[in-house]
Amino acid sequence: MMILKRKRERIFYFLLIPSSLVVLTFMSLLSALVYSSIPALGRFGLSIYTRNVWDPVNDQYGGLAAIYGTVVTGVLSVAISAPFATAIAVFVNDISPKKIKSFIINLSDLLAAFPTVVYGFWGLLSLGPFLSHTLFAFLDSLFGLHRITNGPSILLASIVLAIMITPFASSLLREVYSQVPKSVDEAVYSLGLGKWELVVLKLSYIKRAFLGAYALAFGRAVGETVAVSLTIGNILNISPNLLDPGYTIPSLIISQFGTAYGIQYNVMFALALFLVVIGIAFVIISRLILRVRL
Amino acid sequence: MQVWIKDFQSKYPGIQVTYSAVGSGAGVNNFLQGAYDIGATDVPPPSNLYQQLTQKYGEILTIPDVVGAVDIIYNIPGFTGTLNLTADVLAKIYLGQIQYWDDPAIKALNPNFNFPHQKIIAVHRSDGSGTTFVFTYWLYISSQSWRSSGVGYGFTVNWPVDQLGNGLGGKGSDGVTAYVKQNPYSIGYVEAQYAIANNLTAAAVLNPSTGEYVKPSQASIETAVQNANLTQLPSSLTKDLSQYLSVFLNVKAHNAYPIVTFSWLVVKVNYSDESKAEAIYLFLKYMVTTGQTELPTGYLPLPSNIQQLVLENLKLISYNNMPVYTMVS
Repeated sequence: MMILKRKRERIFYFLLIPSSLVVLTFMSLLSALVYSSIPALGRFGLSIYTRNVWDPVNDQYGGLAAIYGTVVTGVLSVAISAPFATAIAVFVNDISPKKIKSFIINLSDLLAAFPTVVYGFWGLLSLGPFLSHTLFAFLDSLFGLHRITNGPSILLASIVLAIMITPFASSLLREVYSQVPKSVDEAVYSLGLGKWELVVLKLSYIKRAFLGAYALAFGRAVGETVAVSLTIGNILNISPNLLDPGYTIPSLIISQFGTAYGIQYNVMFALALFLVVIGIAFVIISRLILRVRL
Repeated sequence: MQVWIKDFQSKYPGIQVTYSAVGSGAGVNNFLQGAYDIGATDVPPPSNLYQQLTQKYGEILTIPDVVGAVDIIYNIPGFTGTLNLTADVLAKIYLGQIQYWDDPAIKALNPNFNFPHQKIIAVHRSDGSGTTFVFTYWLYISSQSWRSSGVGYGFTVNWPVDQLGNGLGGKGSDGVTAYVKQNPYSIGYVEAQYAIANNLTAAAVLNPSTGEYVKPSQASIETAVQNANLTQLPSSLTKDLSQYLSVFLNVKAHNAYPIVTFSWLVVKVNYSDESKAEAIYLFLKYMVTTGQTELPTGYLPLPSNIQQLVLENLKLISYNNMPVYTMVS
């Protein structure tokens, strides 16, 4: 560590406190998760993660359907959101007139502040039936996917999540995008290249920030409880058909936590622990993708 | 509950009552942990929990406080009139054995409607719930198909229909209602007062004891409660009441709705704190007497025979083994 000599600089040592709190919080949350998971893992082993059953009557638990739903909705929501968030970042910085720019930025920041339950009810009552008659019906006719519900499905939950995380991700992206030095613009134009080349070049500058933004956004998506619970249908179903209802780990936990006692309580901690694993896996995989592409 | 507490505290300003709305399982579990003085639940504590409670607290009282029923709600576009259902058809729908509305078993019960070949979306609770407990217990005692399926009954069960992708799980009665309203060709079960307050059409359900199809209503629920064979109930509410859930189900009386139940309160009998013993006695007495006249829409008051039974049993509440009812007016 750097040695701070001047007296008034000693105060910087206190900056250690918030940073160490991050480590402390993570360690204490993780140990609480592990501690409360142990009874469940001891009794069921890894079958908690590989079986699909939720049967408090016979005390049998396996969260595979919820894990499947969590991964699918998380990845899908990021995939849907990324082009939109990128487009917004480019548009407000390089394309739109000033007035429209601030209007869009303010509105987008407002959307990021909406409570997730609002997104959930809107998804259930408005977006779901609308998509069911348009996009879902189209997918149905295209691929012969059978849809039985009027909205609630893995795809609806993914789209609602994508809409929720886009303002958040785009606000991070547009800030970074605007930080790309002006000298890049000047260099591009002096070479006689156009806006297209400029945007492509600037996007390559923000690759890492993009990754960071979506690591956070993915975390939000896979950890969301209420909005998903209202739109996914909450059933233990593992179906490749995205128009079928399903479950996620947080929506299973929010549904069942109130009445859980005994080993069921521990099983939920074991599933929450798996959320951490999914989050870490996402960061590692996206880093690997970035390395290959660079 | 909130209405009662407000009214009770205006009559007895010295007594502080707080209520937290948690699920039935959590209510009794927190009571067991000692966090609550009164545990509220939609079903009497199951035997193993009753054992734990009596081991920890000595005698406990399980008191019925409100009459309830489970309604079957549905969303079939174009259907008018009343849908007739039996326990066996409902069981097979939730087991995934009847998957389409035009199934012969449904047509046989409702010959006047030309059902379309549409999949049935079976909506159930996603959270653990006393309503699910009562509904599945009723299926268990009324349908051979349900019994032999091994699903059993409880606050949450492993719904076979979900594995086919034809189920939906709503959080709370409002979640189930929203899913049924939103999804054509769906069916669900909710608490009766919820259906009444939201003006939902409910199915007429076959009462196997009488062979009649009965719609849930103030009158048909009351009929079931008043004609229930109370001699089956023990005169002392300190006993394990878990097997008495069926007393109010499939009651044999003309126009009695088959899925009727009570919600319950669980309290200790003996206290070492005198003012607490008195407060609990006064609050419970208020609930089963004055409180029953102040029920919100959709709730039915306790019938007088049950009220008498509860009042007799409340006299057991004691401070250091001395009954407190003589000390308070």
